[in-house]
Amino acid sequence: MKESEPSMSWSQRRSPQWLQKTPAARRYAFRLSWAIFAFVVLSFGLSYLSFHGFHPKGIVAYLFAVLPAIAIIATLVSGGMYLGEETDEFQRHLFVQSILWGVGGIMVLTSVWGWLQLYTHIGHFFTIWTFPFFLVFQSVSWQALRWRNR
Amino acid sequence: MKNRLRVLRAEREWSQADLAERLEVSRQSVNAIETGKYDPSLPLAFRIARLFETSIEAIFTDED
Repeated sequence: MKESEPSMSWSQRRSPQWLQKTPAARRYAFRLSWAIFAFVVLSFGLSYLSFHGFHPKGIVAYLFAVLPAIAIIATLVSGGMYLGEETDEFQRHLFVQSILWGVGGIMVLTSVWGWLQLYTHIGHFFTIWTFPFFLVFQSVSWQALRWRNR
Repeated sequence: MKNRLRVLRAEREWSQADLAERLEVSRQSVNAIETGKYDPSLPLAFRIARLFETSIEAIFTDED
């Protein structure tokens, strides 16, 4: 079955030219939104269940624990699909650059945090925050790169 | 890498958007290539050369 094409929204048509997305970028935004939505629902859903006394044991505990990771995999897959579908090589180039910024940003953040944990009383950095922070760094740098090359 | 894209485009009185449409790329791509911020791949360079009915070397030079 052919995936429905997310059409250009009213806000897209009205937005500055540099903010307008290619068809592949619109599909990426559509898939990413769903993956993030799933991540939030699964993460908060598990927290809610755990708070209300749901503590599965054995293999079920493992399965529930990795559920949010499925949504993370979906965001990575949507990024990979975008790179495969984007016909504009310069836009692909900007996206790859933004991934490097995202990786660099999260590596700097976690490294600095790690050293701070060793020598100060700063709180523990939960590794489950690694991916959301990466996504924030990557998304912000992608928009910044698109703005710089508008 | 230097290029004569802006000159060739101006000769035809095309805007960046016009050229982008003909090349089936974004206007940002045309701007990045024109300003030397981005060097196109070989397939895109061929497409540009074909559009202007000239050779790649006549458009792109490796001078700094």
